[in-house]
Amino acid sequence: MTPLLELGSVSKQFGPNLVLDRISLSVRAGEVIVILGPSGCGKSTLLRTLNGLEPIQGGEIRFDGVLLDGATDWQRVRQRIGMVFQSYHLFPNLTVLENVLLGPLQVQKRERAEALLQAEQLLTRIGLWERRHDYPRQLSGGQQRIAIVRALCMNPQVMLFDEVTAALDPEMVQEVLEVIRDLAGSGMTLLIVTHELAFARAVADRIVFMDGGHILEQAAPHQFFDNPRSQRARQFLAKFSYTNVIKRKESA
Amino acid sequence: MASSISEQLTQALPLLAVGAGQTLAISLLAILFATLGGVAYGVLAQQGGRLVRGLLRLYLELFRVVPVLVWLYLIFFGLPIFFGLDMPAFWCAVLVLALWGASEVGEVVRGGLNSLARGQQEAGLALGLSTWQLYRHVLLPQALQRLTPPTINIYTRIIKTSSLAVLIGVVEVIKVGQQIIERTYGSLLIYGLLFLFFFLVCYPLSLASRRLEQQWGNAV
Amino acid sequence: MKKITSVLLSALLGLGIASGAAHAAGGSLDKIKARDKLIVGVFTDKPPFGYVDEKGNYVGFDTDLGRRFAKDLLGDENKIEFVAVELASRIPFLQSDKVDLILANMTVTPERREVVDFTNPNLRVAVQVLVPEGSPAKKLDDLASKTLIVTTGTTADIWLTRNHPEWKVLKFEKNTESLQALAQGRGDAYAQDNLVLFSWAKENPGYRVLPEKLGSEDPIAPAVKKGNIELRDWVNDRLAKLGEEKYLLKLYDQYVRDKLSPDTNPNDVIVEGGKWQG
Repeated sequence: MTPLLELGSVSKQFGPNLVLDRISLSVRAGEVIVILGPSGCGKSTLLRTLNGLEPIQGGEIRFDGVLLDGATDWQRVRQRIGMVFQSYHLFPNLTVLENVLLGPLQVQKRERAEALLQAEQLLTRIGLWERRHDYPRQLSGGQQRIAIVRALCMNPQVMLFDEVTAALDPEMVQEVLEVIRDLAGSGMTLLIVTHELAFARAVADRIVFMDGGHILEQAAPHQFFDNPRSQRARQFLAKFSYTNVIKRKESA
Repeated sequence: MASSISEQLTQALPLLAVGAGQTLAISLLAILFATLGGVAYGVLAQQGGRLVRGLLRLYLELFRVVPVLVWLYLIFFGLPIFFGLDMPAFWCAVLVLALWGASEVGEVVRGGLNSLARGQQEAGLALGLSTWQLYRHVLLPQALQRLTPPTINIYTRIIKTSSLAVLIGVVEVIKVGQQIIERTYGSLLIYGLLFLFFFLVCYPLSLASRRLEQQWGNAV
Repeated sequence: MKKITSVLLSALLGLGIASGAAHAAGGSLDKIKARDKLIVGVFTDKPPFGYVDEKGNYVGFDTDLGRRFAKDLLGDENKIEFVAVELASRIPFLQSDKVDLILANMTVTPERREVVDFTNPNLRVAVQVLVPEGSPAKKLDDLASKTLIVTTGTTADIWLTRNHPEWKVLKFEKNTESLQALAQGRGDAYAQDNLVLFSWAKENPGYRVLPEKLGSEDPIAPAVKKGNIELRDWVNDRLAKLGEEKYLLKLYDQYVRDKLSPDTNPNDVIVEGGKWQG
């Protein structure tokens, strides 16, 4: 079966820095990939090349067999590959509902009634339907989940999550992780960049470990966490060993 | 020669009203076009390639460096002489004031767009919005909220600068005032009325700007 | 700044004309008749020559003369459009063909002759000196050791600088400021265009104008675009005919006489018939 997403020897430079160095990765439909690695390893950049926010200088990216390059209509690709950001970036001048409906109505030109129905379903599932007429700054929590709903309402095939819990208060993190876990269970293709190792272990089909612009290791979660093959991976995990130990003890 | 204040007023007001009409017509049209032009300038300055940005820069500098008065002269008197084109003084004034105003509004819009978190743009693009949709639904509404005080400032300056049109033959409100004063020597009364006129025109603008700021402030 | 601007712009516009880009001024009478309207540039805030009355009508010595021209050329004195001009815009209005004629108290100078064509004059001006009634001065040289006031850029200013650079001269930016200074006694005499002095002396008793003229007397004349010989000759012809009916004297009586001190000789001010002997 052709992979849904395929990166072949992708390279990217920021000025003199080679941020992605001949990255090759294959993602099947329905897979949940979690990308781990120390800061600066290029994992966010990797994500951002997939929806065209970062252009690449070398290699090729294929989505559903089609090459993504300078001639690509990124507007159409982005309707099928959704993204959620660390700082959620809800549009402050629009209400929650308007934020969610903007894409479906303006970009996909869907019927308002139908889009509204989907928005209601999704917002109700995260318990924020009653707040739909509020502006983002009036909310005391839940913005990131709304950002996820906003992306989901476009009915994408793939969802990219770029450190979506890193900027949240600890109490909010769980709620967001649960939403993502539900998505994973529904069969959607996810690429997740995160620091939440326990979560990664629980939800991923495959762990991709990066360092210095390279993919050093790819493995199933239990294999990666229990028996990392590369030195760097071991060092990386060692930094979290304390947390790992606690979590393992708790689940025993 | 008029004597009593009420007599002077009755004579002066109708004349001043005509002048005021000219001032307002020129100013409001110039403000309208300056706003439209300024938004276009701001968006182009953010999105455009190097050539576009270079041209905009040139346009900006020309209007910063050359006084409005000189522009009025050059366009009004120069067009017929150099190109055989004739433009009525009224429209010439509107054009020059609009071009000058647009360069200033444009810089404000550009600054406002610039100050928006880049993430807003990325989040919008990630949803599949086109550049036009992005500006229309996300970036410009937010930028506009920050723009009101400096733009209102530019508007009041357009209104005040409109009096330069006198030099290309437009009889606007200040000129009418001078015409009356030279005949009646009632300068205190006339300048008092002119003061009132400009205050009544500019103050509501300032109030509106504050109201808009508050209203949009609720959304951000 | 205004002076520099106007000089620069006149030069620039002059270049444009020299470059041949301007249209011909020939056939101008036909053009005016075809338009059925005479377009005249006048002052609108300088009584009694060009100003606005309490009903908002453009009137004055120069302005009414314009109406008379319209009547004589087109049959109706209302077939006229007045354009409000400023000191600095008079010449550009002619150069750019936006007016047919300028009737705005423009003194004939060699520099101006290069850029516009003057008709025969309708007014005259000379620089004279205003002194307080009690001053012992009877002629200019009596003021050699005194302080003279001038307004910057005026003919008086230029003449004194050129001819008596060693004299003590106090300069002000505006006419009103200079007059105020004289009234306050900060200077002993004020040198200025005699018309300004005559009218001020009328309003302010206690002053008199010395009869001596500083420098030459200059003609003030209507002006047309350079090369517009047709209109120029027509105006000269008219002025001569109007001289026969002493028309300018009538205008003088209507507008100017009351503004000046009663001992002013009209022929010191107007030029009847366009006849200049200067």
